[in-house]
Order: sequence, then structure tokens, then C-alpha cells
Amino acid sequence: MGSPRPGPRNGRRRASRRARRIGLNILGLVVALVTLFPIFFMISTAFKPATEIYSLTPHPLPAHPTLSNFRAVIDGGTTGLSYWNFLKNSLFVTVSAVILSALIAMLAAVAVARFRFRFRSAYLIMLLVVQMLPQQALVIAIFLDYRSWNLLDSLIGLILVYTAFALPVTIWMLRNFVAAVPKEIEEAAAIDGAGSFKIFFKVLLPLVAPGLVATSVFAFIFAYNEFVFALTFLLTDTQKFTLPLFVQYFYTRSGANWGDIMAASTLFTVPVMVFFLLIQRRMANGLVAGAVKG
Amino acid sequence: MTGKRSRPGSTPSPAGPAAFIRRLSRRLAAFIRPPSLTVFIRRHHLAPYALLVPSALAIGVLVLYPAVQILEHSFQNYGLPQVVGAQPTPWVGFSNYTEILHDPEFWLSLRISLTFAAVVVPLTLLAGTLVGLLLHRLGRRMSTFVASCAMLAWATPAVSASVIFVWLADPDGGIVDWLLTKVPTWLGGGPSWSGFNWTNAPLPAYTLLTFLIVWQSFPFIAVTVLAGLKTIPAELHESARVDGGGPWRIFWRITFPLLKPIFLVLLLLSVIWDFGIFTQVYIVIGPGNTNEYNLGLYEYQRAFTTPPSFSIASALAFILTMILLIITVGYVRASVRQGAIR
Amino acid sequence: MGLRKIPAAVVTLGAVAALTITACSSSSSTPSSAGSSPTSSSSNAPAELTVWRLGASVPSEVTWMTGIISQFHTDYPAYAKTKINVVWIPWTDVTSDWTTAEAGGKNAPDITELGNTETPGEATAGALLNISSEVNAWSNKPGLIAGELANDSQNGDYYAVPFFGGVRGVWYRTDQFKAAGIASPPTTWAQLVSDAQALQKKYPGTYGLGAPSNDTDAVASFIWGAGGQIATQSGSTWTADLTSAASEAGIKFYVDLYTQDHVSPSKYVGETELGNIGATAGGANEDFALGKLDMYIDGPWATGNMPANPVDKANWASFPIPSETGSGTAPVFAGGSDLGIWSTSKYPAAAWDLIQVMDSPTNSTTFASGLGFFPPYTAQLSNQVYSSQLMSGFAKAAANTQISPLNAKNWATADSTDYVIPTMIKALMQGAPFQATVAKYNTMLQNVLNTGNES
Repeated sequence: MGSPRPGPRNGRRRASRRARRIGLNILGLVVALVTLFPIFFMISTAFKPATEIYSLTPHPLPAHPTLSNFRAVIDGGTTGLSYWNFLKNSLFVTVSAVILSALIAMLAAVAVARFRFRFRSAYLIMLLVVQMLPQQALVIAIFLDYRSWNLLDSLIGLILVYTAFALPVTIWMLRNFVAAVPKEIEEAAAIDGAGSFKIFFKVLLPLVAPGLVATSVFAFIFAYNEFVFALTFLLTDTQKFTLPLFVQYFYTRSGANWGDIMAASTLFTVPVMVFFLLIQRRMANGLVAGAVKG
Repeated sequence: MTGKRSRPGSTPSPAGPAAFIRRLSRRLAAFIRPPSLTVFIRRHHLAPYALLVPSALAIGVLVLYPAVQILEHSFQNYGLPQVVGAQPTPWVGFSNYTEILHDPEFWLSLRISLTFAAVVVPLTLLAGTLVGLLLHRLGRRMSTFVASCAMLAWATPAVSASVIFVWLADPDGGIVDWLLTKVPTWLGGGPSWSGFNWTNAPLPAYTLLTFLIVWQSFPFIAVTVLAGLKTIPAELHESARVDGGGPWRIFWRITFPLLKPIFLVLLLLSVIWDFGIFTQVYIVIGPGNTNEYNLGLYEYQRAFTTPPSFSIASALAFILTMILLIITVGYVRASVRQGAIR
Repeated sequence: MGLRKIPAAVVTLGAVAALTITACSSSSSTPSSAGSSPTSSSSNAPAELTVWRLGASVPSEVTWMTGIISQFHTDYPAYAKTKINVVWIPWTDVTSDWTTAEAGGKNAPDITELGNTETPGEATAGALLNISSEVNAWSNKPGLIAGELANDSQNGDYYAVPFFGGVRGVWYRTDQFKAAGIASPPTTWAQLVSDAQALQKKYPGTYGLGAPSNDTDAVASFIWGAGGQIATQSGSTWTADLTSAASEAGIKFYVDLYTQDHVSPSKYVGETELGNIGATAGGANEDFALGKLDMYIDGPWATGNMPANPVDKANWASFPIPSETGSGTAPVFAGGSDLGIWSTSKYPAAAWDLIQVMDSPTNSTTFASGLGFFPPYTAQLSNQVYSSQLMSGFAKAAANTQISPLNAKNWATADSTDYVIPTMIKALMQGAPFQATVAKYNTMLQNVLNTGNES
């Protein structure tokens, strides 16, 4: 149509556009606030003393913030074990699973992205299908297998099963990153006299590094938050519990002591959220590249 | 001038671990570098398969093999005496399945699972799409800010989210009941909401779960829809608007058809996730409320509470898996059509 | 060329392997004793014995256990280095923890306390060790209360020994009764309700009588107190009896406490007397201690779970649960605990020695008196004087007890896994049609008692 002309109608259009923009921004703020509210309330409750938690009119912020709930959780009142013990278990299991799955997934991603072979589509379809198998269904068979293999009540058992279940998604994500690296770069490096490992480490790996970061973050979040397998395979040995189990144990055992429960939940949740916020832009790319939440 | 290239297999093979490592590294080196044509053909058979061995092993042993075992156990009699080895595991054919079909708790849990998915999936898609559209219209900084806040909800661990929502709905100190008492009675609120217990009956419990799952799931939908919207050239929207289309018509005539493949994938994924949720149901409803179990929780409880019946639980697990697999077939087909498996 | 250097991939794999191996050895926590076989003789001192005690880790119980442990170390110098690991498990969790220990084959205790209704089920499931020879050779065996010991036997073999007994009654405050004009505790249902309503009127903001839906042991007294039965056994077949007119009267009375009489709050629907399932705080128990509930049904052991700042403790008293018409008190469930040895325990001899210490006439009586239980020995029970204001009501109730069908082999499945009666009460309290619901759960109960399955 014609180009915009200055004039009364145009001014009104500009004003209505600004009004719409303000309206949209307000809407955006509302969405952000509503979404953040549960998290905010968890942290706020964790800092409230018991009298404020059960007062008849709840207030958003604690009037007299206290660290007593956190102290009770860290010192280990209900469980007899300190929070640091569970953090150590969780980090050990999570980091091991991330490293193991990154290694194995990288090999598989290279295979799928760089080669054409007979069972390639079957393998890829298998990866898709396997992601959809419900963990609470498979846990029965894995429990019985682990019992025979003496992997129950063992953090190693958790690492193995977390790796296996993180692999489909990490391989899927990584292969897109590997495929995005043009083969010509590798071939050029080979022509220039680089050996195989130099190509892998100096050429391919740096280019795939963002993908490795994205998949590692995904695997980290999956293993750190994982509940069903930890619940089933660690039996009743509280000493080996990971953090999700710790929060749930706290929740069922401490009656209605919400201050402590929220403190435990905060100690569990905040690290992974901070970690996530730091890397979230790469995560978004990885997600859009075809990943799914496990 | 060609660089030095090792020729695997051209040196004699001495014994010893160092030589073995050397040979192994030579093989790995040969697999990763881009081979010449003759070498490529020779290595063609082994290279990808060797690289796939670790992942195939891990997934095969810990995911596929148990899946087959679920089917196997569902045809056996497998309870506590069998687990401790006191008795064998006899083949009982389909009797576990017939027992399940006569079990009213099975039908109740199945009905709950189906109804819940039927309610939550559209709500999640709707909320996610609306937020995605909003993010698309916001300025870049605002959009990133809102998206980050939303993704925090997505990143919250399921255990924490469940515990928070149970606390929000707590009859004694929770905010939800207090807010509802402030709502005027003619809107449905009023003092009767004071001390209302949300978890001891199926309807309020699953209402709470609906809010929880929608809260946790909509960010992923929103971000994916946003990414899809960004791929639509702006000129399409511009010309439609200039032609006098309202936002509603623009969405249905232009946006939705272009995003249909993404919506299909999101729909299938959402159904699969929401049908198979476990952690949130386990924590919000818990082991005590047997009349509120969904299929996943019921199957888990049959396996791990007294007296454990791994065979019945396996049969239930198999039914649950089958339902999800049928939906997965649709998802895989959609993915293939979209060229994800090229 | 790079071939002479060890490939980085192999190094990384090796590092992971090394990490795994060291982590493997540091994460295993099973104590090992020097090469003892599963059937160890008492000369092999175990490094650790695990004892599962039921309930919250109340300070008085912890003190008693500590005393037992030091006595154990003194009386048996061979075990001086043996660490006794006491684990406190909420009553509502214990059946699943036992199942997990059996199914998983790990983390099992050496000694476990069991509710006396759970012993038949666990013994039949093979979780408990057959200790007939030990019990028959025990000098204290003749002094045990015969009925309680009989509960712990299957086909003539002993699988546990009784530890203590206990009955339920109604907790109240004498000053509140006086202020509300109640001259003496109620002896009929009608009086019970009117007293609860009078208390509510006199003390607004409190509730008259707590009726949690998940409290089968209390509901049983109302069924029995109307002349009904939960289930009866002929031969080895159980017939559930919830649909008889008398049983339904009892069920209806309990449900009406919430739905019609409004003396019990809605938040107890879905809860046990302690609170949510698995919790040991936050329910009727805590509300009574803090003065928010006027009358509360539980045993004398309830003090153990009460919060640290109870209200008006000096005026606490008890009376037996009334029967419908007032002819006698309502029969009350003969509860209690037993001690058993886990079937796969590596140190059965040492475990039996510890049980002998825990369950000696002296120790079990000090335990029982201190915590509001009844000792398992006939002489000690009749020698005790239960005339205190708090205990006299319970002692009166203890004269009229019943245990069947709660000692059925599948009762633990019916009540602690399938929650048949609690779910029925909850459904009725939430407005389900009375006759149809009772009939439905009656069939379910019968099926579970007979087969272990609901259908």
C-alpha cells in the first residue's frame, strides 16, 4: 500500500501501537510473575519461622526471616544425616552419569552423523521409541535384574541406569551438532597432514563443544532430578539417598513441618536453577534442535 | 604432499598390553578420520558399528532387555517367594491379564489416566501456544526475560514442584484455601473453602495435579512454538494484516497451518508425558489413597507393596507401555515425515 | 606421530574406570565380620546388629534402648565391640519396608519389632526366623501371657515373642469435662456425642471428638461395641461381616461423627490419628496435645508422639470407648508389639541374645510402665497398679479385648496395603451411598482376607 504519512490518523495508530506494546509487556510481566510465584513461595516459606507459616493470613515475605529451618535440614534432624551427605551422593551420581553418557553419546553421534550403514534408520527409530518407554514400567524388570546382579542399594547401579536412559536424547541432540559440522573441514585438515586424533580433538570437538555442553546440561538435569529409579533401587538405605529422595523422605516423615520441607526443597532446587539459568540460552538451542524432555 | 598416514594392519602384531593399546588406538584413528575410497569401503562395515557398540550395549541391557522382561514376567507367576528363590516362576499364560480385566481398581486407574491426559494436554498446549504467541510479539529483552522465568518452571525438579504445590494447597497454612475464602461466594468462593483438603479425593487431587503439570509443561511448548513462529517469514503476517485480517484470523489462516507439524509433535509428546507421569502423582497422592491411583502408580504399587506381585505389576506395566507405544508410533511417523530421520 | 602417545579416549575411559572402582569400594557400607557363615555360633561376634523399632524416635524410648545396649554389652562381653544400630520406622511405613527388605535382599534388619497383628503375616511370608528351639529353651517362656505368645506361633513353631501389649481408650481433660457440666465420662454412644457437642460449645474453636478416617483399630471398637463383627473365620475361610445391621450401626456412628454431628473436622478425612500416612505429627494426636481437640481416641502410648509443648497436661485422663447401649465397655483391640529375628539375619544367635535382654521381665516391665504399655508377663501385669488418672481408663478397657480378625494372615495386606476399611470410611465421609459402599468394601475385605487380592 502507500507509505505511512504523518497526520492525525497515523498519530493515533502510533499511539495505539504503543498502548498495545505496553499492554503486551504487562501481560508478559503477569505471565512471568505467575510462573515464578510457586518458586518464590517455596523460598519465602523456607525463611519463615513456624509462627508465620501457620498464621491465618499468609504474607508473601517473611517478617522475621530466620535460618533455623535451613539449620535443621543441614544438621539432619529427621534423617540423622546431614544435607551435605545427600548433596555428595547426588553430585557423584550426576557427574558420573554426565561424563559417561557424553563419552558414549559422542561415539554414537559420530557414527550416525558421519556414516551411512544398513541399520542406521532402525537405530534412529529405536532411539526415538526408547525415549517413550515409561520408566515406572521398566523399573520392575530392572529391579529384579539389579537384585540378581547385586546392584541394588548401590550408587553405581544408579549411574548405569541414568546413563542408559539419558543416552537416547543425548545421542539425538549430539548427532545434529555433529552433522552440522561440514565434512569438508575434516577432510581439509586431513589433507593438511593432521592425524586422526588431531582432527577429532582440534577440529571436530571444538565445533561440537556447544552441543556437548547442551547435552551435558540435559543429562545433568535428568540425573539430578531423577526420582523413580532412586526411590526403587536405593531401598531403605537413607545413607545412599540422593537429593530428590531426601526431599521426599523429609516431606513424608516430618509431618506438617513445612518450614523444614521448604528449606530442604530450596537447598535441592536452587543449585540446579542457578546452573540452568547460566546455560539456558544454549539449552534453548539444543531443545529446538529436536531434543525432548525425559 | 600427503601427510603421514598409518596403514592399520600393515605392521605385524606383537603381544602385550602396550601393543594392544597401540593397535586399538590405531583402529580408532582409522575409524574417525575421513578415509580414502578403498579404505572407506573396507572400513565401511565395521566403523559405525564399533562406535555404536557402547550405546547399543547400554540401551540394550538396561532399557530394551527389561522391556522384553516385562512382557515375559506378565505371563508368569512372580511374587515374593519367587524373588527370594524359594519357588520357581511357572508359566501361567494369560491368567494375569484376565485377573486385571476383572479388577475394578485397574479400570478406575485407567479411567483416571485417560481423563487426566484428556484434560491436561489441551490445557498445556493452549497455555503454551498463547505464551509462545505472546513471546513472539514482545520486544527481545522482555521476551527473553519472560521466557527465562517460564523455563525456570520447566527446570524445577518434579519432586520440588510437587511438594510446593501440596504446600500451596495445604488445608492449614496453604495459600489456595485462604485465597478461595476471600473470593465472593457468588463466584464460588466463600468460607466453606477454609481447611479444604485437596488430596484426599480424586477430583480435587487431580485438579491440583492439573495446575502442577500445566505449570511445569507449558514453557517447553511456549519455547518450541516461539521457535516455530520465528521461522515464519514476517512478510506473510504483514501482508495478511494489511489485507485487513484480525489477529484471530491471521492465526488460523496462516500461522496454524504452517505450524501444524510442530503442533502435531507437541501434541503427541504431551500425551506421552502426561499419560506417563509418576513422580508428581506419587508425591501429591501418595501410597495411601488407593482410590486415586492412576495407571502408572497402581502398577508401581502392585510391585512394591505387600504382598508384591511382580507378575501382575508387569502385566499392568505392559498395558501402560503398549498405550504409550501406540501413541509413539504416531510420533515416529510424524518425525519421519518431517525428515528428522534422514 | 600421535600413535606413540596413548590415545586420549583410552585415557579418559581409564579414568572413568578408576573413578568407578574407587567409588565402588567407598560406597559399599556393609560391615564385614571375619569370615562368619550365615549360621554363626555365638562365639562369632558381629560387627553390627540392626534393630528396627516402630514409631518415632521418642526421647524416652531412645533412653531405654541406650540402657538396653549398655546392659547387652555388659552381660555379654563377647559382644562388647558389637555396634547396635537402632532404626525408627513409622508404623504406617513398616510393612512396605519389610517387603522392600525381602524383595531387595538388602538392608534387612537383624531384629525387628512387629505389631502383633503383623506377626502372622510376616511369619507366613517367610520373613521371620523360626526360633522355636530358642523360645522353648527360654527360662522366661512360662511367664509370658499365653494368648500373646500363641499369636506368634504358626503350626506349632514360634516366630516371635511378645514385647508389650496395649489398648485404646478415649483421652480427655477432667477440667474441661467439669467446666462443660459433664459429671462422669460417657458410657453410651448417645452420651459420647452429646458430651462432644457440649465441649465444642463450651470451647468454641475446638473439635469435640477426633474421627480420622484411617484409624481401623478405633473403628473396630465401634463395630464391636454395637455387637457386630468385622469378619469371622470358620476353618480357614474368612467371611467379612461389615454388612450386618450391628456392624453397619457402628460404621454409621463413626462416620456420622464427621458428617452429621460435626464433632470431627474435615481435615482428618484421609488421615491416621497421627496425621498423614507416614507422618508422625500434624494430626489428631498433635491437636489434642495443643488443646485444639477435646477428645481423642488412642492408646496410652500416644504421649510419645505428642509435641514438646502440650497444653493442660495435668488434667489428662482416659475412659474406655463406650458401647452402643452402655452394657459394658466396647471391646477394644488387643494391640501390642512382638520381637522377631529376620530370616536372613547373619547373626541369629547374637540377635536372640539381644532379644533376651530387651524382653526380660524386668526390662520389658520398665519399658511398658514408662511408656504406657502393658508388659507381656502375667505376673508383672497383675502386679502393676494402673490407678493413675490417665491409666485407669485404659486399664478398665483392657478387661474387654478382642483381636480377631486383626491377626489374620492377610490382615496387614487388607489394612496397611489396600486400606480397605480406611478407604471405605473415607468414601462414606465424603458422601458415598452408605449401603452400596459398605457392601462393596465388605466383598473386597473378604477377598483380601482369603486370598490376599481384592477380587
